[in-house]
Amino acid sequence: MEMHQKSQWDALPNLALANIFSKTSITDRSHSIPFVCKSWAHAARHPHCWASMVAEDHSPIGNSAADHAFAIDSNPNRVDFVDPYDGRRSPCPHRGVASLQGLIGRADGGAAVTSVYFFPFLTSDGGIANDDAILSLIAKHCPNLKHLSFHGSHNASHEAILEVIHNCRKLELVDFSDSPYFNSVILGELSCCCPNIRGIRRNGYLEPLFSNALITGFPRLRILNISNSTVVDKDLLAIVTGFKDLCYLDVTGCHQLMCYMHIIKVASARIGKILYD
Amino acid sequence: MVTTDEKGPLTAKKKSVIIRSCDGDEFLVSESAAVLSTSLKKILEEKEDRLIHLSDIDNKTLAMVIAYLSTHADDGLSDDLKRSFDQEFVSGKEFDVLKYLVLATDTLQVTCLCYTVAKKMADIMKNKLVEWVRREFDIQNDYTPEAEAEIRRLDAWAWDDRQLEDD
Repeated sequence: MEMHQKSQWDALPNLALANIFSKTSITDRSHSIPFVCKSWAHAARHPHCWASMVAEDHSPIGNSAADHAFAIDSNPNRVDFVDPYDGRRSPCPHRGVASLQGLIGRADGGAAVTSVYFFPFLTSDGGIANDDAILSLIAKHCPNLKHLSFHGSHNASHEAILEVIHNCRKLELVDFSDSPYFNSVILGELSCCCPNIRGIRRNGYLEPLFSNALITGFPRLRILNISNSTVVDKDLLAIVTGFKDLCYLDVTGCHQLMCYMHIIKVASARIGKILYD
Repeated sequence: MVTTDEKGPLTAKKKSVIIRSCDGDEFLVSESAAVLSTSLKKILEEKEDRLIHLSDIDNKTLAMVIAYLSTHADDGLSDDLKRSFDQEFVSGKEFDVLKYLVLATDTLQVTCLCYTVAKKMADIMKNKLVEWVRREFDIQNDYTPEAEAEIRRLDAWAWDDRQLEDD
């Protein structure tokens, strides 16, 4: 039976398999799939599988699921972003660097990498910080990076971050939550070097009037997630009036907002989706 | 032969095409549905033939794919409805049926369907033991113990104590 022979799971076309594997979690992609059989291992080495550190979830219908994931779920604790090491940090700073090198090696030398998330396992626990080494790998090997999350990175130098910004000019979505890099120098460079930025995420402390610099630097921003931040009414008002193209705004868990219901009510006529408490 | 300047957008008129499966049955499909398949679109652009013979897709699979294409070609349906149709489309299907869908999708190149089926397969394999995958998908382990040890060595960074499911 030729038909039967031809269509075993281990004899599917390489690209069809690679397409399936690209939708799996990084854990399954690296721990399980290559060990099933040789043809799966071959397909799992296809650069297409390694474009992203998260399961590729770019639905072709309607709103991009990648945007959705960025705006809502780009938190390593969420189920969709299963961390192979359950949030543990390695005591060895070389391990995270080796992990990222492994990823880059499979993804066509890094040219195919489109998204990198600072999972806790990439950074090290104690000892020498490896953040700069990781950022330097990204800057050197991933010129086509679109999504970058600094979530969980604390020890990078300004120089290392600027190197990434100067080399990854196709960046679109940047997540600054739980990292100390959301400052005027970095934002200034980001707005100069990366004209495609359309989404920014930040939680925690926000300086009063931070919105002015953000609006000047990224007037065409579409996605802004500042949930669980110290944003105040005045900045919220500046945001909803200043960003003309904004279509997603998340201000849940912002306890310093006082009289914001009116602002949101008026803004919701223009901004497609606003999340608030 | 179609000359270059006559090659307008095929979707403009409400025409139909006939698609024949490898079992010989024929299906009537609106052209707007057929062109969602990149391969069919190419065939239709190249020749005026309204009959397309697919020698490697069987009746059952072709009927499913055509139902899918027709739903997605319906402009009256919202994206949300199409998304829930997609969910429904792959839920509860046997692995063999999904396998033929993967193959048909590979032949026909339908972006949305390709995504939906691949996502479904990835969800099925999520967090499963290698042995579970081999058993359920009827795949022979073709590694020698030495070769397996070697690839585990190459991927050593990825190894750690994980809780995997075997059912």
